[in-house]
Amino acid sequence: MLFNSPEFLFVFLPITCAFFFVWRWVGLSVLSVPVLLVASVAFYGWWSIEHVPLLLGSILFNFVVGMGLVRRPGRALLALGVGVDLLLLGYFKYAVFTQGVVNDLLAAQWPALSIILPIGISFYTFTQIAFLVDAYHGKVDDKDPLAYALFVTFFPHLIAGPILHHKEMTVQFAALPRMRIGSDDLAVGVTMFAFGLFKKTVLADSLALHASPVFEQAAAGHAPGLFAAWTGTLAYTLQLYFDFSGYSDMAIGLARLFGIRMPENFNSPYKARSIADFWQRWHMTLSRFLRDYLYIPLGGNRRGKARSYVNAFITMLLGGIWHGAGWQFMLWGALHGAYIVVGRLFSDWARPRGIRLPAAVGATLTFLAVILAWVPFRAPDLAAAGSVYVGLVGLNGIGAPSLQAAALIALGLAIVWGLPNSQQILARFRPTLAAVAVAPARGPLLWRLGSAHAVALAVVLVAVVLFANDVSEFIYFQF
Amino acid sequence: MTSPNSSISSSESGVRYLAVSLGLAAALLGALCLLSIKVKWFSDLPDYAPLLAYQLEKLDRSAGLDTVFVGDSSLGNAIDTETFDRLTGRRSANLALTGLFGYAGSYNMIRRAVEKEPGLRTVVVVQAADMMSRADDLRGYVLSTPRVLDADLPAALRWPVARAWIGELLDWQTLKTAIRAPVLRLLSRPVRDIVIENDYVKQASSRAPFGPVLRAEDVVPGKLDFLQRIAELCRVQNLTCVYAHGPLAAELLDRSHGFFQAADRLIESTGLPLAAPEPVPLADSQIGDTQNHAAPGEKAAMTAVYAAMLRPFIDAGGSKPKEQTARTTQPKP
Repeated sequence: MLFNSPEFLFVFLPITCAFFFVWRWVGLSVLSVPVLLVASVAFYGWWSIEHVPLLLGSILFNFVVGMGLVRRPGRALLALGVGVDLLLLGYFKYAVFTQGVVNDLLAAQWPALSIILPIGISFYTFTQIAFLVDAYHGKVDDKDPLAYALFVTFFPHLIAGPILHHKEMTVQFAALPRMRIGSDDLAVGVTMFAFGLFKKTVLADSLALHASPVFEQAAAGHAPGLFAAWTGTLAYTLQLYFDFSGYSDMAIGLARLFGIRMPENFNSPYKARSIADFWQRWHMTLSRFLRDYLYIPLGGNRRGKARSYVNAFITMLLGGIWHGAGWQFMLWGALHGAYIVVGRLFSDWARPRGIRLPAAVGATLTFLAVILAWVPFRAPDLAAAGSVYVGLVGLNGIGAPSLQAAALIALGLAIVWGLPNSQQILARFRPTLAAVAVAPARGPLLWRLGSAHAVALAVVLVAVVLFANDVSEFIYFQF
Repeated sequence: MTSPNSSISSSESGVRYLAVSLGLAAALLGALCLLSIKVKWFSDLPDYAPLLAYQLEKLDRSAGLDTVFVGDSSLGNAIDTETFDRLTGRRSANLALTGLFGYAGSYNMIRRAVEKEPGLRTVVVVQAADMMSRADDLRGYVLSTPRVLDADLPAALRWPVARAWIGELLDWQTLKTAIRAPVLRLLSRPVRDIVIENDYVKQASSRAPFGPVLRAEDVVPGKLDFLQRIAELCRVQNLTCVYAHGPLAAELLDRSHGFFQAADRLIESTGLPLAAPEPVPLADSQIGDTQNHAAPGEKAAMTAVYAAMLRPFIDAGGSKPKEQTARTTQPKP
């Protein structure tokens, strides 16, 4: 049940809202958390009913271990909890790939494993590992099992994030029965959701029509020419941003319908002036997780420069592997790890000499580095990625440009570079638990709940409906 | 009414904002639905409209047909009913639509023919050779159905069809079509480039590049919904129904045998017999504007090939239509 499907929009969401608000209306606000929990498990069950026991079992296991760590923090218990989580994730996500590699290395003929990846497992495993680590460090106060279960399963984020931190959510869930949810919350939630839906159905899905054929044809052995390779790569660069940030906007908007604020996940990443800056703007909740639960435990910056470079590289490499079992994801992670190391080396060399890259140069180099790294991220395999790279430097011929694709890419670039993002547009209503204060949009782009913006929202909704004919999945669902 | 940690000022009304935006969106979408109905079902503006109207009018004017051909452009360019009737002694009509309508369009045309022609004995379904590799044809169903509320649809198809109806009513292409037509008329340019000629749509002047080789894994699962409806209709109406692949460029056919083995298994599983296991090969000189189209000059010759191929089914149809045994068999598991 996709957020952009009629089943979700016209059946699941209205029913969930009705149950949620009716109980509150009759004075049974105490049922708010159970209603959302049941709805969230039903939402997951719609996707894959056979994996509901795995989800619930994982929640029960982690909660029990977490409470054990709260009572008596111990490395052995923490290792058990994290180990079981990683084993489960490893089995479902990496066993098939690992077996393929072993088969290749040993020239073995073991029959291929057939394992269906439970949807959302990467996301709910990470949130719970963070919970266990925090419980070990004495940072867990809330002991309500229902609030914990809802923190893991809350349907707006369950399938593809944002990756939530228990502390920022369980506090809100605990307060939910007493919280007053007004029509303005609904208005902001609907607006944010509509922005996300617009990004997904109008922008991302339109760009996909120009990105996907290039990579699929490259995988089929048709090497793309210069124009096709750049068209496919740029279109995918924009598609991925509009798709994933659109999903995040929808999740944030949905949560707000129930009075809940989520952390922001994107902050105009293609405006970044360095790779480090990019990772503070792109999939911010993953970056936060990798920093707090991987980079810092590895030693972070505390053990000298050389070691910090290694830590940064390992963190990005593992971040790549988290996205999927495949050499192309490792290459993507390794590229970003290398970018960060090169960026720090340059910074360490340039800063004492008073050298600073002009902002435009930094932004251009960062954008170029990022789009080149998206090639293996999108390509079905390394051979296809290589073919697209060869196309990007013109060694497969020139080909002919597509004016329609060029116009769409230009529009996408104008939006990501020239316009404020969703959080900035809705800054007056503090739509997220923003860790970093965002500069509000200016002029008419700064949203108000007035007539002019109501008309604008109507236009957005109409556009969304008109483009939503072919419901397509979100890219990050595969991770 | 705001949440405690909200920064929303009390002067702004969420209720009024939501009412205006949702109300206006509903009004705009309602207007678009009305425009879609007008353009798609009560005008000749869409590309498919003139051909659909032509074939429906053909059916309206007909009398005493005993054979109908239903299918897509591969049929429209391959079968000349005058030649076919002369070779077989039948009275037939070619009701070919386009690939857009798919099996669903064929199902609807058969239903219309059954209602109009009580003496109908034989139905020949001819679809493009690659039809089993194409996505579903619910759009074709919606655009050609004789009934909006269709009691003949099985429960499993009702929700997908309802979604297809919504998709057709809220299709932004309608706006494009509605705006484009008067502009083109103002410029004295044709609204469409479709011309009916030689009992079907006139072919393009140049040949389109061939599509990829067809592989067994290209067969789309779930493509059988409307073929099963066709087979069921044939059983209920005691009709002799047969499936024939449209012709295909020999160059592609030579490398696509696996596809047809897989597709044939599925087609026969519905109970529809196949006239031949593979398409009629088109030599380079016989190919029209696409890999699935016989050249206009080859239509009579192609009809003769199909007449010979269909002869056993024509003969089996017999001369006593009401007493014949249905040629469709029970579905294979």
